[in-house]
Amino acid sequence: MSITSFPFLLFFAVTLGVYYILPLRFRWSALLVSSLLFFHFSAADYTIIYAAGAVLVTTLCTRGITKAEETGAGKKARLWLILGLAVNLGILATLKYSGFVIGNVNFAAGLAGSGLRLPQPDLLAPLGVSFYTMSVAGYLLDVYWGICPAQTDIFKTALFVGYWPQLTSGPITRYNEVRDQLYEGHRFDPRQVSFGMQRMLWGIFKKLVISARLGVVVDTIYADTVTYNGFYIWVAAVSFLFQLYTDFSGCMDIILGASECYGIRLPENFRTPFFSRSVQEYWQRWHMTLGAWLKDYILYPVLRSGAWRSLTRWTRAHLGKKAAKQVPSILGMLCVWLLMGLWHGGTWGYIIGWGLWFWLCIASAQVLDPVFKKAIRLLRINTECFSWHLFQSLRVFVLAAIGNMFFRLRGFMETLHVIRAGLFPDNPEIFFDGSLFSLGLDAPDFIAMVVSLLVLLAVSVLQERGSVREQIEKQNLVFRWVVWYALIFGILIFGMYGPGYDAADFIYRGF
Amino acid sequence: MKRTYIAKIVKIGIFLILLYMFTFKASYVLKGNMGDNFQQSAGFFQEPKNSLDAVFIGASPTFTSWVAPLAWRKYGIAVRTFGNNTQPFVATKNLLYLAKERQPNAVYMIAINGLYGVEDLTVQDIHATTDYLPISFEKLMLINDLCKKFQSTFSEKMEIFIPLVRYHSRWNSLNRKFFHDEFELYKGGFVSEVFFNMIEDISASYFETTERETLPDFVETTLTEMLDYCKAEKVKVVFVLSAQYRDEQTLKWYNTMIDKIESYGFPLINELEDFDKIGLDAKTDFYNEWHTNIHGALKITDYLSKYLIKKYNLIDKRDNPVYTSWDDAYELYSEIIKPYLRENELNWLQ
Repeated sequence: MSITSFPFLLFFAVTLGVYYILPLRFRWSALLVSSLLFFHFSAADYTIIYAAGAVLVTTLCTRGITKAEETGAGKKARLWLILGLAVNLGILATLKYSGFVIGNVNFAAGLAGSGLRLPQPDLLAPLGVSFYTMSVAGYLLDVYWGICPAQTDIFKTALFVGYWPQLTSGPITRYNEVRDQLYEGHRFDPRQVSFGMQRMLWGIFKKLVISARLGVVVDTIYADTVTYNGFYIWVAAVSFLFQLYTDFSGCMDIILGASECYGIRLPENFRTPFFSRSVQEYWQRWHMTLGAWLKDYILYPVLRSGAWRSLTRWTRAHLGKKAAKQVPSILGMLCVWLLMGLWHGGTWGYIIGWGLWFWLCIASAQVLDPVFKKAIRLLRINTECFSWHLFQSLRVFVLAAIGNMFFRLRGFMETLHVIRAGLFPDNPEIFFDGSLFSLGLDAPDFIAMVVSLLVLLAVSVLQERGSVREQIEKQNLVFRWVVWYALIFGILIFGMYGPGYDAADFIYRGF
Repeated sequence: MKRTYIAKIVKIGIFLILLYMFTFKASYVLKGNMGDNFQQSAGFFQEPKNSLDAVFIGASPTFTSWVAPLAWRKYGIAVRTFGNNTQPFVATKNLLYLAKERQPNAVYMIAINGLYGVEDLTVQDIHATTDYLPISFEKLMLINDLCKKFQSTFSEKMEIFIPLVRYHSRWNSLNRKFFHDEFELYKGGFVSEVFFNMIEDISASYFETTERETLPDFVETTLTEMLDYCKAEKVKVVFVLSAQYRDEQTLKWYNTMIDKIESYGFPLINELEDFDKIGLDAKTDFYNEWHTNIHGALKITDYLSKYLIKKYNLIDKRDNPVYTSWDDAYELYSEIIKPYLRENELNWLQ
């Protein structure tokens, strides 16, 4: 069940109605039942066994950790933690990465001249496994570190794991952030419900009006990079970056808006990432919950670990103070970025192209920072003006667009080939001779896409100043209604849905 | 507090009503009000209330066999067709209710053609049947009924109830025509090059049978409901089996339907049986296996006109000033068809 489909809207309306009809103390159970229904409508039923296993093991392990810590049995608590992480991450690894591992083993065997050929497994992962596994792993660690108490009610744990809005594409939630919200019933607040629905509308607009159109352009170009080379590649790269953003952030808007209607505020995943002035900042604004999770549960523990302290000491002794500051943190980031790539999928394209590319950008910015500063001083560049900020944002944009090519094309060598095809463009005429209208969208559709991107830009600028919905709320009724009608009809008329359109699923739903 | 809530509810109500109105208008514009289905369905509602002598309800064989402007000219009877190209028979019941509201005293000729299997009727056919009907409770019931009978999926239902879902993609071909309803003034008189010009010899495929076969449940139900309704409301009704080629299976169903209709005591004109009486020629009077051309249509119009006048004592209204639009329709239509008529047919234009 796609979250931009009519069945979903019906599902949402019914579950929202039931939620607010039930007495406050039973409302969380309405969420649990609706999550089960969502799972049933959206995925193969049998895959729920993996999610149920995760719930059962997590409940047992967090109880075990709590009991062990109460009795001062630190080692036992650690064992419970390891068991919980091993089972949950094991399920994820088996479902998502066994194909990758077997593929590499077969490849290595082939290189070694061995006839070994392991069969590729045909495993179907449950909906949202990458997202809820991260949440569960974080929860286990939080309980172990004493940051939050363990949930003793298995059904409440099930709701934390399987709360339906986060099953599609996240966000990755922390137990501490959502537990009170999930289990306390919320009173009906018309303003909150209205805000939630407005946000859902905006998300649907992003997905059906902008992302779907950009997708047509991207698919056309990448399907035939022999014909479409040079500037076409850049058009595809930029289009895909916007497509991914409007698709993923649109999905988040629908999910967060739906959750807001229940009175539950899930963490934000995006904060106008294209206004970032550095790649590091970009990743603080893009898929924020994943970045924060990796920072809190991987980077910091790694940097605090004994091995890294020894590395710092060694670097200081052999390479000096400056290097001792940089080398361990850069290597720590390497772990994070490798995992970032791996989390997105078991291919070298993701790991090297997606993970290592951004690590390379951040690490080189850190290492070369003094050089850049010197150059800026020498060239007398004013870094406090709009043009410099614009340049910085464009630079991030280009780097992100290149990184996203690895994401879109998946194969590492294929991506390199495509980058090469666009490296020395010699066809600027495509911007003037109507060639862009032959990329699957006719002129009116192309114009609709450009106009809606401008709307997106305007809304993003307003978002930088605060909540757009609150700014609209302050306006007079006629203006407010005109805005919402425009949005609704923008979707109804310009949206790529219904007969004649093959509505693509959300890109991050695949994870 | 209570007042604030009431104000909010009122505001939401107004917002939704306006939303519905805008959506309706947008659907109406984007679906493009043109073509045969528009002329035959929406055109019917252009007639003044209670002004028609008879209404001919059914799928395309109705308007390809009834030449309204010429029947007016020759006999002074105001009879219009009401239907569309792919209308299923099971829609007739609701269409009869709709037509009856507007023309309560008319005689109803109901074509029993248009039998589809559950899997044969497409979403487009349901659109064609319902899109051009004015919004009413009966229309919603009709949509619901068709969706149920033809087992439409949820998404299909949504696009039929909210036609904007289907037609929104036409926004990039919008032009001025979309914003203005252009009704033809021929009173349903069919204008088509194939209808005027084409001749197909269907004599080889003509087929007869006296066998019967049980009707599909949903056809049986519709027929029974309609017959009960006509009986209860004392509707002046005559059923018509249009002249067209049909396969053996469908003919067996027709025979069963005819038995049922006759068991209620309603009159029925079987154009297949009356082929010779009508004077139809399978070699020259059809433009394809399912539709008569202008020559066949004139013969059927003549036959049905005489039948209606005789059975229902329809009076000649040609001197009635209320019906001048029918004279205009004749003038316009006769100009169009004149070049296509055979010599022996020119008497229709006198």
